[in-house]
Amino acid sequence: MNDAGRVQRETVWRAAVLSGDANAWRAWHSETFAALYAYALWRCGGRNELADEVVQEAWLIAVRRIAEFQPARASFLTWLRAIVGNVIRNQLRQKRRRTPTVSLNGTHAISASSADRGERITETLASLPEHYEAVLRAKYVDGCTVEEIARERSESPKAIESLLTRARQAFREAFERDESKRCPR
Amino acid sequence: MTDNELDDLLKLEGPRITTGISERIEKQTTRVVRLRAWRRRAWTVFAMAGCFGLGIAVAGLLRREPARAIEGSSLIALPTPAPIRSLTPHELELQAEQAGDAERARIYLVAGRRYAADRGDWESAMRCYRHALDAAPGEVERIDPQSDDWLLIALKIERQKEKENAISND
Repeated sequence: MNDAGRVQRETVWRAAVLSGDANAWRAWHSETFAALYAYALWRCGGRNELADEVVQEAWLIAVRRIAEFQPARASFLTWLRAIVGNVIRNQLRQKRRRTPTVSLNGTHAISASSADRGERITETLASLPEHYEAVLRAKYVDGCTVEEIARERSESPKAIESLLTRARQAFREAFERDESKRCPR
Repeated sequence: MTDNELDDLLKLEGPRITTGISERIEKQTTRVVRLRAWRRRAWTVFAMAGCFGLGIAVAGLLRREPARAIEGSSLIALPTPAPIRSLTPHELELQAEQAGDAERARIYLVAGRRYAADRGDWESAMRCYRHALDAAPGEVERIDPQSDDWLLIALKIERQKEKENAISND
């Protein structure tokens, strides 16, 4: 479907949901749920329990704030993904506040062995700039080729390849930095 | 970290959606949408009730307004007894026939006006006006464009001319 068609269809759905049409909402929900869940699961490092929590909160926010959704600016799925990103960032912030890393005798209380790989992936992805996260998501979650991403972003494949390399490098560095923080030598 | 290790970290191994999570969230969120619909309907009913109440209030005010206007207007200056207002022009005409000299002209005038204004029966109106002018010849001199219709004015002018002719012939 082209973008004009998508905007038109989502504008109609938005108006229907705002007027209280439960069927329109159900249709919209079932169409986007799987894609959103996949994204949330990726952002949560494959942890279903956390993904469930995040997705649930994101959908509740979406249904309450549906009036703020502007189909002309982005697709419903993009808007929902942004909400998921914010929910994850908030959860990480709250978690950091609840369990501050306490240094005992020069070493961190949380050892590397107890650190969950999924948790590290979540934190690393949350720390990346938005355009890096978006290009990694397009490759690893949506399974897009470099050409498809280039078409989607109106850029050349070479520019996307370069962006992907930089994004992967940024992820690697942030992940390793996080590892060394958890397991100081 | 090698490129392969990085790919393994970032690759999503076929999203395993928790059983029932979609249905549970759909149920929760649909409830919010339904609540919104209910709120919207409640507001519509409330607004309609408000408009209805406002309409009744305005209608009540408007109904009172003409009554005040009539009280001060010159129409009331011509006293019309309450019973006369409720009679038909025909009944008024009958009443005028039986009335005393003083009242007859006035009742014929009212009957004539009612024939003309209410029914457009100009023939009956002319008959009543003529009787009224017969009963009160002095009325001929008083032409009032505010209360006299064109027929009464014409009859008065005709009577005035007849009077003038009679005087000049004498």
